[in-house]
Amino acid sequence: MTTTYYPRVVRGPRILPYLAGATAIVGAIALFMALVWAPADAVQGDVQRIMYVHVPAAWLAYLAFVVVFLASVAWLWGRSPVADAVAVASAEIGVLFTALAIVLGSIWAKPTWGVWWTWEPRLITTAVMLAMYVGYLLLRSLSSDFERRATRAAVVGAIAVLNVPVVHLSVTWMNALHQLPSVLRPGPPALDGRMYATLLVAVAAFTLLYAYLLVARVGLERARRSAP
Amino acid sequence: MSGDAGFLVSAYALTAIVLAGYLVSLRVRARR
Repeated sequence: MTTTYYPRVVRGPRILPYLAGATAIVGAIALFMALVWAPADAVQGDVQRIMYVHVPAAWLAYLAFVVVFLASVAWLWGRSPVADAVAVASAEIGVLFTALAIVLGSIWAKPTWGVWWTWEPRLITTAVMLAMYVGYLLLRSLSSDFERRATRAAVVGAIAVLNVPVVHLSVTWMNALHQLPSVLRPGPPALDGRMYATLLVAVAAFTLLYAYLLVARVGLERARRSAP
Repeated sequence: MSGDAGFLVSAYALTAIVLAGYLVSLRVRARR
């Protein structure tokens, strides 16, 4: 009998299996609620169920970029390599979630608005946010000097967070096609109780997934740096 | 299910594929 030994980085930190289990359980509940339990929208029909993945992906992208901001400030403040690892990990996941939110929004928009894409404020600002964080990741590949790269990236990471309020509030600044916030706004949520509950469980599942990906990606970044 | 079920299925399938792809990329990079 042979035993394959994987170094610690491949197995990952101890919390990872628990995060994976929690993500799978809450994800399965969210999937059932989104596709079966929640009622179909009176106007949009079943296509509205895309919102249970589109909205959490967008919100978690916001969270990921706020984490990039906090980690960037932490790097500039204390020069902790962990802070830089968290910043790059969260930026990568934020880019993934932003791209996913855009594509899912596009799949929803075709049957609802009649077009895959339109040049309106929420879509434009989200595309700009995606481009800026892709730029952030590219910037990191320009220098092999760790300190210089981390500092340059941290300055960009600290400023680029301004995209988040711009994207979120863009729908309120001018008459736009994209709907106004239904939950992240002053006052009670403007949607059916079961739809709201489903959205919250879906957000919980995405938050757990984000935590899993972040821990795994930070572990990868730290292992790379300690590699000979 | 309405006639737009294809859009719904595509959206959820794409989400699963993208997330699974990223997980695989983490795994591959960790072993490199």
